[in-house]
Amino acid sequence: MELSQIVTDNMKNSQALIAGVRDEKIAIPLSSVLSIENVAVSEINTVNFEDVIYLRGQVIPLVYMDKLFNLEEAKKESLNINVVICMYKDTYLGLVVDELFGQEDIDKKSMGILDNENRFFSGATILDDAVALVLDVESLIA
Amino acid sequence: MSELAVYNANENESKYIIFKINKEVYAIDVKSVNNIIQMPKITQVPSSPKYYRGVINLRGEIIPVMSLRRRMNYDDDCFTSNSRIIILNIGEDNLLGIVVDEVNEVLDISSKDIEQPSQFIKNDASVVSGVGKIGDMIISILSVDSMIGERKAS
Repeated sequence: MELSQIVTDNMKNSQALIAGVRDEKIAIPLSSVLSIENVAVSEINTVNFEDVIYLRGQVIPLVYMDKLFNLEEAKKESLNINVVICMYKDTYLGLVVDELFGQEDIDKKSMGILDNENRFFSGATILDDAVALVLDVESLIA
Repeated sequence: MSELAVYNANENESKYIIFKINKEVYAIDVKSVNNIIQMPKITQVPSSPKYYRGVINLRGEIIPVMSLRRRMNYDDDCFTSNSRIIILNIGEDNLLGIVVDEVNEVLDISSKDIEQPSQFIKNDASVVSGVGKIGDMIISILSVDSMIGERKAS
């Protein structure tokens, strides 16, 4: 029964954007998300050995989520990439993901002792039986 | 027949779950064991120590899973149909799963049969808190504290 779900508060913190990286799904808290952009690979510049994009007057560094997960490079080179533009305080970041699945109300759960043993995730949530890690955007802003 | 009435009162005996990792025999106090399950899908958590394989979803709960093989610097886990995850109680409300190659039986081991591991062998990677001798078998006793103990080096 869904009665218990209706009662939870609807603060922005409990909504997340679900993104796919290869076979894994991650949940990015909506409160950190500014926009989603589809960027042509040709528009990626390099500044200080880092990939960046120039968007609406801002230089936004890119973080490749597949590198974060230590996954192999995407098999086929595509002409466009999906970038989730995030913000923490006044720093911008572009997360490069494979797919986007829309937004969901998520129930962020603690990972027990793993909460203090990892850098980038503040918890996990269950989507349709599979586990999606909840990204902590602040931690990516090195 | 009269043995049926004998209740082995104390002798500081506890029941231990006996399992194997890498063909070696280990034991853990049943009081620490919450559950034993077959291998589910494990979701990796990047940037966590290598000996954590990730987390699993167990009836709606997120439980971290550790590989004792990695923790003890052995070769990596080799999953078979006998592999299991033993879910342990940590402190008040936490749980931790450990990957084991097979779960065998429950044995009573009394504390007089358990010795401290040799000082020379015990090091940071050691999760063994005692060594028991049952018949011809040498059984390494694990304790939950020794598993999540010091990790300063990593």
